[in-house]
Amino acid sequence: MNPGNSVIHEIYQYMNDKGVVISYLGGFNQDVVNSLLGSVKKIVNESELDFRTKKRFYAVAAECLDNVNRYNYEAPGSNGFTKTFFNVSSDDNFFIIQTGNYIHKDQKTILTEKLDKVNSLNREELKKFYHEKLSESPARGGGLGIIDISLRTGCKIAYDCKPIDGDVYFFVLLTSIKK
Amino acid sequence: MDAIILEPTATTPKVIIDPSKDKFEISGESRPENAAKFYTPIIAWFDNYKSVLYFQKESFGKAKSVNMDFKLEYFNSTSAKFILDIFYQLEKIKKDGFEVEVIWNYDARDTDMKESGEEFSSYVPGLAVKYVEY
Repeated sequence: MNPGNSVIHEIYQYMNDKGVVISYLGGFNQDVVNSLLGSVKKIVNESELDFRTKKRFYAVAAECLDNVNRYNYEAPGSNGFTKTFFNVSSDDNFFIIQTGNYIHKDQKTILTEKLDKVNSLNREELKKFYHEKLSESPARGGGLGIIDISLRTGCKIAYDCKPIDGDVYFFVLLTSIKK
Repeated sequence: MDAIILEPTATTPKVIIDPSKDKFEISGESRPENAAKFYTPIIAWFDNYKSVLYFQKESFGKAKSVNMDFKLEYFNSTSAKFILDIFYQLEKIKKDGFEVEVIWNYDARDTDMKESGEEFSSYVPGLAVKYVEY
């Protein structure tokens, strides 16, 4: 293969024009999460954000990756539904975090219900909802992550579910942190 | 009782629970891959420690106090549930008549972290929480 014919430069330019600061496509496990969060921490620390926004950015990235981990669909065998996408981009006003991964229909219902609920609440209601959820037993990640993202960003969480094949959907989550 | 001493990792906080040195501390970053596996022994430890305190009280007339330091830079939402469980355990010890204080240390610039401490504290009104900036 001739590298001169490769689309790498086009991809590079496209992503660069979109303000991408980190992009990852590949397998997903704790080592990948740690590595991505390491990069996020570095970007955050080198940015001119105030301290609290830096902490919020890191926390939101961590929760977004936890969310992928919780709902990621990995089909048995190798049918291509295995890679996960994580992207951070920057424009004049916001840092934007996006994740993309396959999810199963059953998970889609749970996840979108949580997102719709969280997006329907104002800040005070959200705090109250967090308070209720935190004390619920058993101690599992019962939707706190989504509430946490919304509280820290102060923004609604955008998402999309695209049907792919049978019970499998491609799920995109987008959240932004004001600079 | 044996102490729990855990060095920090990329995903788990430093833990020192060592009554022989009067040191109770959880510090750093908490986003364990399996939060239940990480925190359950710590929560169980405090549950068991009550019998040690009762023994001290019966034998010496007074039990040692528990001064629990939290100094967290970041904890994820799954960890939050378990941190709250530690607060509940400490509240139980307090309700049994022993001296307990929580010291919630936070970076002075990180008001969100202070609010997190206040949030935990709101579930356990009988437990004294001291907020300390660093």
